[in-house]
Amino acid sequence: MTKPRRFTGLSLIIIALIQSVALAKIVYDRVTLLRSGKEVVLKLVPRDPRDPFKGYYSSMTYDISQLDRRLIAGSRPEFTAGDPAYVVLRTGPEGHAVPASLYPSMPVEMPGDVVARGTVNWVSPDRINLTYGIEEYYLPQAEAARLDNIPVDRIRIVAAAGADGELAIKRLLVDGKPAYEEPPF
Amino acid sequence: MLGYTAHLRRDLARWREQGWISAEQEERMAADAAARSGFSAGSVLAILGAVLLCLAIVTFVAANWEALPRMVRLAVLFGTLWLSYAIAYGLFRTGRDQFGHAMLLIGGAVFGASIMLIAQTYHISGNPADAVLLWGAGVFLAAALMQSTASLIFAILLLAVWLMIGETGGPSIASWQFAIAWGFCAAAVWRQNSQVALHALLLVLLLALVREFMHETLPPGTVCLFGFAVYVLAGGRGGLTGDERAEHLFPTLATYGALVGLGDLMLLQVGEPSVSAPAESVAALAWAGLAAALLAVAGAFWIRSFPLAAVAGLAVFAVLLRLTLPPLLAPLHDKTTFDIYAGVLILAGSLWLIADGGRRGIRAISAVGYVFFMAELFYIYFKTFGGLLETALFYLLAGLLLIAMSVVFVIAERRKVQRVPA
Repeated sequence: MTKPRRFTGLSLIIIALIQSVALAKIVYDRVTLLRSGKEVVLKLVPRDPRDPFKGYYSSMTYDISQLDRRLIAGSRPEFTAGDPAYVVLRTGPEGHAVPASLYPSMPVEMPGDVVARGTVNWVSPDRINLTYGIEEYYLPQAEAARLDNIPVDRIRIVAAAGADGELAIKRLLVDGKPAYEEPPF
Repeated sequence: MLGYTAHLRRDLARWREQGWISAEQEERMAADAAARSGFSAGSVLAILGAVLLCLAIVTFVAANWEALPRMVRLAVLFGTLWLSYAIAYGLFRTGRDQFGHAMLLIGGAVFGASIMLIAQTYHISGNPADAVLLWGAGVFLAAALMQSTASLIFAILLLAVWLMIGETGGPSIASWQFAIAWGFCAAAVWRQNSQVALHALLLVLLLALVREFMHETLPPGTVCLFGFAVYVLAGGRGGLTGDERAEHLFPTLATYGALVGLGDLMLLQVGEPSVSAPAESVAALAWAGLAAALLAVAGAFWIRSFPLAAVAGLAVFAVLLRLTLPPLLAPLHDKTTFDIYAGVLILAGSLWLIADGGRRGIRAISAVGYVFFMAELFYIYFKTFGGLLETALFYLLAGLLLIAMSVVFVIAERRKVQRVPA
């Protein structure tokens, strides 16, 4: 093992600083999104797995996770797995967001609409499957199990959508009431 | 290294019995070798302890610390990170370097755990490969700035995890992205001159090659040619390079080159589908052959272990290879012909490795040769050329040839021993 030479302290401070900045950047982006993003209410279907790194969570499948290919706007561009996709969401009569159309790039937003950016997971002849980066809701093990026993129709997720369409989970609602209050900090 | 000290002790005892060195000299030489072997139980235990602590930190994450508000969680994460490096500073300052490196490793684990915990706190699912890449970059930074071998190996392991995560879910890591990250690690391995890190680095490269095989993105034979090029490049006699690092690291590099070169040929022979190569891939192979041969020539020249005439000869050979390879490879679409060509190449190659490894005193290279020699014989046995009678004939001829060669070797070795003054 080679010996570190001069500047031991300085090197260590640089390491700690750069690593901290990387972490702070993740937190900052998320907090900004939660504070300034537009709110959308999403309908979902949960399940219960476990992530070896991140612990227990409820896996969320939203009703906007799988879209009808007829929603693809304009000249029907082809989507392949890994492509970004922008979904225009409109609040429906039942109070949750309903997909209106799907674009390969950021569309011009109409007042009252929210645009969500997803990544194409797979495509079938009539469906297109998207992930939005909000598919995992982390909870203590017992809580995760309890949440999974609540019928899906009673749960809604309130997400914040940023100007670029990125989504962040803001609140989880059971029967329209917040189940867990989570301030940005 | 331990193997070397034990071996040296046996040799020293023999030399003392021969009366060439005194008992006191023997003791001094053995003590010097032991002190320089770089093995210290203390540092190994410190690193192993740190690995266990890292596991504790990462599993703690999975336990979900729901009771704490977000602000406190973040404070704990950042606090632990800075504390780890502050402790490392204290340890380096007071000259406890092994423990300092162990602490650096723990700092790297804390950084990774923090990424995961922040994702958990803010319910970010995202692409796991991105998280691992960020983690690896952080650990690599620590390894490069502090010249820490343990952290470098940790970063290389994360490189492997990053590559494999792309295969299990989410988008696959592009080869050029992997190549860039691997290049950074390679530069650090060269700078730190560490054997263990080099092994880790080359094993990750093997993993990436296997991945390419799975994706069927490489024209068949390319890997073999590059393996050969690396073998020649790294195979120059260490003493002539005058570079301590090259002397230390190149034998290992040459061993892996040999392993990859013959391994690729063997895979081509065993895996039948890749033989029906289309014309373009034969052409691509020829270009790869040219590139590999030129690489070998450049390497040979750089190492200065070949006279200029030999280098020029190799260059001409490389160009000829480019010109003649496509017509030569055309008949290989026939499996039997290919089998014979590949079989001859593997047997000749492994014999060359056995001899070359022995000549240079690099046992690992000879071992690679033995393994491929045996493997090829087994393959031939199970394939049988046409019928059992032909196979028997083949073994007879091969056996006679080997015995004839061994006689030549034995005579050469006797002459060499006679030249050593008693």
